[in-house]
Amino acid sequence: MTSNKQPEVNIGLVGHVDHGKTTLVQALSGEWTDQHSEEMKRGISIRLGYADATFRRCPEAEEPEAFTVDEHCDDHDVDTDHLRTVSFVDAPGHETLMATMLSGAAIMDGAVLVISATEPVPQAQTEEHLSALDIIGIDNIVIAQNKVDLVDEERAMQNYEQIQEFVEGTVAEGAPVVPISAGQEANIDLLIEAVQSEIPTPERDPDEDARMMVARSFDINRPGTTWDDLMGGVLGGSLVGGQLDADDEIELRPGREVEEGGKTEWQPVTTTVRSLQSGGDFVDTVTPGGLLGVGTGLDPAITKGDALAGQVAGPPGSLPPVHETFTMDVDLLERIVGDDGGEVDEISTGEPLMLTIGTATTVGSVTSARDDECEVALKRPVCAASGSKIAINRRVGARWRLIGVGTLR
Amino acid sequence: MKYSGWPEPGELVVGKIDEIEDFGVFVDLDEYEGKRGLCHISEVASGWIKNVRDHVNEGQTVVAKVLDVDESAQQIDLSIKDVNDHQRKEKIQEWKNEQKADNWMELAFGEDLDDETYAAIANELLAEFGSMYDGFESAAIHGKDALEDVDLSEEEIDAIVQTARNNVSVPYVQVTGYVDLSCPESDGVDIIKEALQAAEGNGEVPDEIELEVTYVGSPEYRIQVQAPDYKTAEDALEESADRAAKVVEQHGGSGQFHRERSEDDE
Repeated sequence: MTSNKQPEVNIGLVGHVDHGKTTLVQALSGEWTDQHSEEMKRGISIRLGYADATFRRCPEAEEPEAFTVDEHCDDHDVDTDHLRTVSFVDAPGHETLMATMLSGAAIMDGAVLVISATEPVPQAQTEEHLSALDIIGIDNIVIAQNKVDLVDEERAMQNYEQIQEFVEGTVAEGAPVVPISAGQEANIDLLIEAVQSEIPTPERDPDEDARMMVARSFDINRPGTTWDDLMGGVLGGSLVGGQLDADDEIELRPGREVEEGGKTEWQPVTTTVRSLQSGGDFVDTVTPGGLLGVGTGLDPAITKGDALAGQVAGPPGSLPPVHETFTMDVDLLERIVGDDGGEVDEISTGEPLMLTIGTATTVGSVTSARDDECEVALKRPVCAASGSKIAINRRVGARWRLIGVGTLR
Repeated sequence: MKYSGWPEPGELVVGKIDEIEDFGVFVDLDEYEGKRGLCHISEVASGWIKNVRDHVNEGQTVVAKVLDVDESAQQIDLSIKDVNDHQRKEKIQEWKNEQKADNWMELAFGEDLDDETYAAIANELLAEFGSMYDGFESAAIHGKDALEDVDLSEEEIDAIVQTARNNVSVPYVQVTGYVDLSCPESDGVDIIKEALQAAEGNGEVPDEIELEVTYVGSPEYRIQVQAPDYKTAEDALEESADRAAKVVEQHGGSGQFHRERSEDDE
C-alpha cells in the first residue's frame, strides 16, 4: 500500500469529530495519521496528519472494481497500474481545533468531506468545515458517507437525503456522495473513482519561484543522539508553486522574533535545503502537489513543536511582504456556522479576531472597521500577498467561530 | 610483600589464627616476615568468655590492633575486640589491595625479580603514595605523570604504567549536567554540532576523564563526565559547558549551563 511516486495533489479530509476521517486515511494509505501522544490518548486528531496514498488500477477488472490501492490484484493475479499518488491532509474535526483545520485548507487542492451515516446532518463541524472550504475556494469536493455498515438501508437513505439538502447552494452542491465503510474498507474503489474524476491534478508552472506553505515544523532528533548524528530542523508543508531542489537556499517569513535595542522585530530566517522527502522517499527535487518534508540546516530548537508553522518559504527576496497590520475587504456570512447559528453582527473596532491566512493563524485586534473593510493589528505578523483569502473567526462564548472571509488589500 | 621490621603500637594488622590456647590465641602476621603475636583471652571479644573457640577458629583470618611491641622479648600483644566492623572491612580491603599490588609487581617485573630490587621499587611507591596499590592506581589514572617524582628508571616507570593500565580497575565517579544551546544562524545545526564537539573536548581531554555529550530535547544537551574524583569531574563538567557556550555565542547564539534537567514544557 505504500506510495512509490511523488504525490501530485493534496486532498483534505474534513468533517465532524469522530466521523472517520483518520480511519479513512488509514484505509487508503495504510498509515495512521494520529501520532501525537495526546491524539493517541484522546482518539481525536489535534494537529494536521499527513499520509500519502497511491491510486492504482487493475488492468483486468471492470470499473469501479478496478480501482485499488494495492500493488497486486489477487482476484486476477496481476500487478496493478499506477494512476497517481495523492497526499491526504487529515484535518482535525474537533470544534476547538478549527484554526488547525483552516490552516490545512490552505494547502488543499480538493477535499473529501466525511459525513457519518449514524448521526443527523449537518453536525457542527461538518457545516463549519464546508464553510471553510467555501471561503478558501476549494470546490473540487467528494462526499464520503461513512459508517453505512452501522445503519440499515432506510436510515442510510434518509441520511443521504439530509446530505443533499445540506450541500444545496454550497461549493459541494452536485458533488458525488459515495457510501463507504472506512473501518471495513468497503466501497473504497468507488471512492477512488470519484476522487479521480472530481479532484484533478492542477496545472502547475515549473518556472515560477518556489513557494512553500509551512504547516508543521519538527525536531526529529531522538534523546541520546550524539553530536555527529544531530540533524537540522525539519519543515513540513506543501509546495504551492515552482520547484524546490536539495541545496537550494530558502528564506522563511515572517521569520523569528528578535529583540534588539529594547524593541522586538521580526527577521526572516534563511537556511539551506539539506534533504527533501516526498511520498515517503528522499528525493532531489520536489514539485507542487503532495506534502513534503524539508530537512534544513537550522538549529532544531528553532523548528521544534511546530514553532515555524504558518511561515512561508521560498528563494530569498521572492516572498510576499510581511504584515503586522493590514486592511482587508470583508465578506461576512449571514449566520454563524455551527450549533446555535445566530446572526453575524458587523465587525466592530477594538474586537479581537482570529485570522487564518494560508497556514498561519494569528489573533488580530480591529483598529478600524467600516462598511465592508476593516484594519487589523496583528499579535503575530503574517507573510501574505495582496488578494490572499483570510478566514475570519470571532469569539462566541467559549470558542472561536467562523464568521466570514476577508481579502487582503 | 612482607615487611621485615616490626609493627607499631596502634597499627591494625592482618593475621591468621595459628594456635588456640585457654589463655588466648596466637596469630601469624601476614604482613610481617616471621612475626607472630598473642591476643590474650580478655582481648578476643567483649564480655565474659567461657571458651575462646566459641569466638575464633584456627586458620581464620582476623584483623587485630597492636597493643604493645617488645622487640627484645620478640613479643607482640594484640587485641581483636578493639577493632570495629568499619576498621576491619577497611583493613581487609587494604590488605587485599596490597596482595593485588604484589601480583602486579610480579607482572611488571617478572617472577624472578630479586628481593633487593623489589624492595627498592616498593619503598619508592610507599614513600610517594603510602601503599603500592595507591601507586599503581595513580599510574593507571594519570600515566607517567603520576610517577614523575619517584626515583625509578624510565623502564621501571613504563612497566608500572603498562601493568597498571591493564590491571587496575579505577574507582570512577560520574556527574551529569545540562547545557542549553541555541543558534539562529542559517547553518545553526552545524554550529550546535561544533559546540557539542567542543564540549566533548575535541580530543584534548586528559586520559583520566571521559566525557559524553548527548541530545536530550532541543535546546537541551546532557553532559556526562566520568573522572577519578568529584572535584575533577565537576571542573571538567563546567569547562565542557563553557566550551560549548563559547562556540554558539561566537555565532550570535546562546549557551547556558544548569545542573538539573529542565522541566519539559512540551
